[in-house]
Amino acid sequence: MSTWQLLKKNRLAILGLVFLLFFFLFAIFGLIVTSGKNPIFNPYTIRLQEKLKPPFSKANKEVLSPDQIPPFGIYIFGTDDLGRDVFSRMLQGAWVSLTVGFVSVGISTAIGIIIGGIAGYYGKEHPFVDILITGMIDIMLCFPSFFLVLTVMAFVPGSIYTIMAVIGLTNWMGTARFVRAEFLSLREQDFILAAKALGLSEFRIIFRHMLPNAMAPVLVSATLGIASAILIEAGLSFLGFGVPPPYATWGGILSDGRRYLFDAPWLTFIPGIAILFVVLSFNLFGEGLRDALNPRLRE
Amino acid sequence: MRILEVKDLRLGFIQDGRIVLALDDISFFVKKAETVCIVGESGCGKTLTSLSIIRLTPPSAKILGGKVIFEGRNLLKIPEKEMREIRGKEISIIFQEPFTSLNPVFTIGDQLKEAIYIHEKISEEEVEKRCIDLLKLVGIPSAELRMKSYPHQLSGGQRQRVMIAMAICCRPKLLIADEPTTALDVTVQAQIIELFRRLKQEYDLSLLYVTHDLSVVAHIADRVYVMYSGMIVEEGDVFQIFYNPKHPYTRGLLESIPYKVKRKERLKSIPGFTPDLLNRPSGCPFHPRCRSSSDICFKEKPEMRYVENGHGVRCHLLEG
Amino acid sequence: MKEFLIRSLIQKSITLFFISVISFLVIHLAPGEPSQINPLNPKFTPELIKRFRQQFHLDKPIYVQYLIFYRDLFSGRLRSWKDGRPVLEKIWERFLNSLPLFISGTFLTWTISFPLGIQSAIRRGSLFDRTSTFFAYLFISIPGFFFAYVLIIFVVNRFHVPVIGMETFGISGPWYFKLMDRIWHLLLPSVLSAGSGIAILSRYVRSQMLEVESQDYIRTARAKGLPEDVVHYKHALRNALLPFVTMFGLVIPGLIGGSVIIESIFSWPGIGRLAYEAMLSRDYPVVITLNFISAVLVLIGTFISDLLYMIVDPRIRL
Repeated sequence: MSTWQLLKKNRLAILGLVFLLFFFLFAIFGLIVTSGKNPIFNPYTIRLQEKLKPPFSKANKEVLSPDQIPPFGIYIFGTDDLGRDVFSRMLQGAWVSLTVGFVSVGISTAIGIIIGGIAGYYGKEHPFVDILITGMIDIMLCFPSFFLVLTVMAFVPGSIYTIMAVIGLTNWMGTARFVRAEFLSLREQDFILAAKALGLSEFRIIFRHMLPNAMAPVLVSATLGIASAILIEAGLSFLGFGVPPPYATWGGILSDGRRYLFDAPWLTFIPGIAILFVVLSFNLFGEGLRDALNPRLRE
Repeated sequence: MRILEVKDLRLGFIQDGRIVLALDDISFFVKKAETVCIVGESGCGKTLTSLSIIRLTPPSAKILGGKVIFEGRNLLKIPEKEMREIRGKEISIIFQEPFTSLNPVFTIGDQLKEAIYIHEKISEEEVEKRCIDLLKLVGIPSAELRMKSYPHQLSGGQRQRVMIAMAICCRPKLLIADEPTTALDVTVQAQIIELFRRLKQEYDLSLLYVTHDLSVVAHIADRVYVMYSGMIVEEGDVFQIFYNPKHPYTRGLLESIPYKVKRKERLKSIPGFTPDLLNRPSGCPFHPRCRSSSDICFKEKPEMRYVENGHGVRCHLLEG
Repeated sequence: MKEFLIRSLIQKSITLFFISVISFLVIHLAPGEPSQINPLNPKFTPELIKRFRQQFHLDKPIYVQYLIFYRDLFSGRLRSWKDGRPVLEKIWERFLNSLPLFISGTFLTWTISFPLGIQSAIRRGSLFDRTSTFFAYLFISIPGFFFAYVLIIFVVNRFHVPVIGMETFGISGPWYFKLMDRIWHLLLPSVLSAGSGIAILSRYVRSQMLEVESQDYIRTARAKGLPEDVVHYKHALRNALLPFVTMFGLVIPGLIGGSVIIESIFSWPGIGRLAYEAMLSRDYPVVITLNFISAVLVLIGTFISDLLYMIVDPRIRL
C-alpha cells in the first residue's frame, strides 16, 4: 500500500491534517483582514472603556467612535485589559505563530540536511569529517533545548527574527542525525553504485537519488518540530522573552492574559485551547506520517 | 495410524471488510513415524498451514472452517489452556529464522530449561543434565559451556540446532519444521537434515516438513503434498510424485530443477508469477500459467481424484 | 567491555572541553565595546558593558579569558552581580530546593509510565489503549503553563492545594507537621511536571513493547507452550525495557532544563527559577554558569546511560 493509502486509514491523522488546513486558511484570512491601514478586524484598537468584556458581548455603540466598532458589532472572543478585540488579535497571531513555526523548522531542517548529508556522504572516505560533525552534534545535544534558547534570548535583542533564528539554530541536530544515518546506509546500496557506474555527477546523485529516500524521517521530524516550535515560542512568551509587540503570537496573548486568570478566563483559555488544537493536529499528523512511512508496519 | 489429520481447513484474512481466502479446504494427514513434506513456493500458504495446526496464526487470520484432529481431539475447538499443554510437548514447531527466533537476553541454557519446566516437574540437576544431553544430541560442541552462552554468540546453524533441541526436549509426537534450513548455508543444511533423520529414528518422531526445496523432499520425505495458492494440488508418496507427477504444476517444478542441463540450453521455468492472495484466479488457481488449461479450468475448482493408491491430483485434465 | 568504557570516557572528556568553550563563548554574545551597543537592544547599557569587560577581562587575549573564567567559576570567585555572593553557592542552595521536586516528578513519571505503556501495548486497540493514547496526545500538545493554570483554577479553589512556594510561610510545630506541609506543597508541581513526562514516556514504552511483541522469539515462546503473561512479562518486557535503562541516565539533565517554567508558575525557589531571575536581572555570571552546569549534567547523564547499557545488554557485554 502506498504511503497515502496507509495514512488515509489513520483517521486521527487525517483529522489533524484537516484541522491544519483550517488553521492555515484561518491564518491567511487573518493576515489579510488585519493588515493595512484600515483593517476589517483591527487588533490594535484600544478601547479602555470596553475592557475585559466576555466573548460574544455586544459592543456598546454609544461610547465608541465609529472606527472603534468591531465588525458585526460584537466582540466574538471578548476584549482584553486594553479593550482590544481578542478575535482580531487571534486572527493576527495565527499568521505570526504559523510563521514562527515554519520558518524556524525550515532553518533547522535545512541546516540538518546539509550537515547530516555531508557527514553521511563523505563520512566513509573522510572519517575526520564524520567525527567532526558527529562531535558537533553531540556537543549541541548537551545543551538542553529550551534552556539554551532562553539563555541566548537573554543576550540577544528580542525580535521575531531572532527568535525564529535561535529556535532554528538550536534544533537541527535530530534532522542531521537522521539524514546522516540514511545517507550512510544508502551509500552502500546497489542503486547508488549503479548510478555511479553510469557516471552521474555527485550532485545529481545526492539530490535526485539519495535525498528523496532520506526525506521520510525528515518530514516527520519537521512536522513534529513545528508543533514543538510553537510550544517553545509560547513558553518564551510566558517568561517574557517572546515575540515583542507589535506582533502578537498566540503564546503572547496567552501570557498577557495571565493576570486576569480568574476575572477574565477567556483571555487565557481561548489562546490556550487554540494552541492546544494546533499543536495536537501537528502531532497527530506527524505521528500518522511516521506510522505510514515506517516500512516495518507495512504488511 | 494417523497422528494428525487435517480436514478441509479454511483460513482467511479480513481486509477492508472483505474476506481474503488464504487456505482453501486443505486436507492432509501424517502417520506415526512418517515424514510428510508440504512443498510449494513462497506465498502458497504452507507456513500458515503449519501455524494453524498449533493455532499460532497472526491475529488477523480467521479460521473459517475445517478440523485439525490430533489424537482424537479437534485442536481448533479445544480451549486455549489445553492447546498450550500440547504446544512444545505433544506438537513442536521449528521456524525458518534461526537468527531471530531465540530471545537475545536469555542464555541458551535458560531458554532450553524453560522449555522443559513448562511441561514437566523435575529437579534442577535433572533438567541441567537433560539440556546438556540434548545439546550433545543435536551436535553442539562444548555443550556445558554453551549452556551459559547467549544466542548472539552462536552461528546460525548452531542456533537452529538449539531450536531443534528445544522442540524435541519433551519428546513430542509430531514435529513441524517450517523451512528450517532456508536461511542457512548449503553445507549446514545437509547437517541439519541429517540431524532430522537421526532424531526421527531415535525418537520415532513424526515429521511434517514444510519446504520449497525439492531436493530436500527427495531426501527425507515418505509422502508429499504439493501446494499452490492455498490449495493442495497433488499428493502421493515420494516415488509417485517424483517419478510420476500428474499435476502440471508439479511437473513444472520438477522440470525446472537444473539437472544435467547442457550449456546453452535454456532453463525451463514456469511462466508467470504466483498469484497474490487478493487476486486469486477463479476455478483452478493454476490455470493462468498452465500449458494445458481449458475452459473448465477457468470456471470450476477441480476435485481431488485418485489415479493410483494414495496418489491424488486436483486437475480437470487428469492425463495432462 | 573495558574498551567501551574507556572509549566513552575519552569521548566525553573531549566533549566536556568543547562544552566549556562554548559556554564560555556565550559571554561574547554580548557587545564587547560600548560602541557596539545596538540602540534597539534594551538589554545592554554602557554600564553593563563595562561590568562585562571588568568581570571577564575582555581586554585580555581570549584563551586567558577562558582560563580566568573557569578558575573563577570553580574557586568561587565568580560572583553574582545581583547580590555579590559566589555563584556556586547560590546554585547549590537552590539545587537543594529543586531536588525534592525533581525526585518526586521523576518518580511519578517513571512509575506510572511503564504500567501504562505496557498495558497499552498488550491491549492494543482496546478502549484502554485508545483512551490513554488520547490523553497522551493531549498532554504532549498542551502548553505547560496553560495546563497549570487550568489545574489551578479547577483544583485549587476546591481543595485548597497550595500553589506558592515550598512551604507555608511561618509554619510552626513538630517536624512531621512541616514534612506534611512540604509534601502538600510538592503535590501540584510534581503532578504537573510528571504530566507531560508520562505522556511522552508511556508512548515510548508502548511502541517499544509493540515492536518487541512482533519479534520472532515471542512466537517461539508461545510455541513452547508458555502462558500469555509469561510471554509478555518475562520474554517481551525484558527486551523492551533495554533502551529505557539507558534513558534513565538521561533523566539527570532534566533537573535544570525542565524546571524553569514550573518553578516560575509555583514560585518554587529552585534552580530553574534562579536561572530565570538571573536572566531578567541581567545577572550574567549566574546565567553562564548554569548553562555550563546543565551541559555537564547532560554529559554525566549520557555517560551513566552508556554504562547502564553496557551492564544490561548481553550483546554488548560479551
